[in-house]
Amino acid sequence: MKTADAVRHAARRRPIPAPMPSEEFWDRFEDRAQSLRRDAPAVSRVFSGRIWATAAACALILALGIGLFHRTPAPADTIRSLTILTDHAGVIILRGRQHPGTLIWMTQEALTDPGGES
Amino acid sequence: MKWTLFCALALLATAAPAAERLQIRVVEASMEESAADPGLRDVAAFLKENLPYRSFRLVDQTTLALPAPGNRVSLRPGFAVLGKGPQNRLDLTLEKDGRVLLNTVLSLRDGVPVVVGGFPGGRGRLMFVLVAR
Repeated sequence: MKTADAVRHAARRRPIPAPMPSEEFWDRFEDRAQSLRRDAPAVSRVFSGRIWATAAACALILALGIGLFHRTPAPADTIRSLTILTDHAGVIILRGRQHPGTLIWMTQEALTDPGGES
Repeated sequence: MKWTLFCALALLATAAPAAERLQIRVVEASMEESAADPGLRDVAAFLKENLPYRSFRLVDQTTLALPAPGNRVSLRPGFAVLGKGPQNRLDLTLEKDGRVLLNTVLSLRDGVPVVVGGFPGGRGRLMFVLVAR
């Protein structure tokens, strides 16, 4: 840049404002900060509301899940306990192969081992 | 939020509804030939597959609400069933002429029979056919 151009450029530049007194600067700073804080809660409330809504929905799903899990039967029919108080010689428990189901059958004759002594 | 709703709906869709009642049937098994009993159509194949009898006859039947509140129901000939608890932990006591035959705790699947029997009676053996519906 030529010297003349530099001088013209410098002349076009706005003058540097006089430095603000420190007290005034911080007063204005505080005012601006407070106005920002007044605006900010709106955004914060929305964000907080979404978190709470999600948390509530998750809690609801969890409660529903637990409730339904307890209501829903086990995946397989199961004999949890069996106490026979009538006369019997043996008990056969079997599950259907082709047709689903469970059989608990009390025999009145002693069960014999086909591979044992006759 | 959309994902939350999606998960909730998926959970509701996949959860199987529990049965509302327990159907209890007393069945007589015998070696006599007879026509298939229409009241046992749903369990005839299972009975024939697993028991060495020629015919199965429905003697009596009743239902218990599920979860069973702990009440007693009577069935011919001289049987009684005391049921208590939900479908996945159903406590059943079977009685004959006032005497306890057995006690069992079962977890039942919807529509899948549990047959408890072998008791002498009638022309062969008597059994209970239990189905949650």
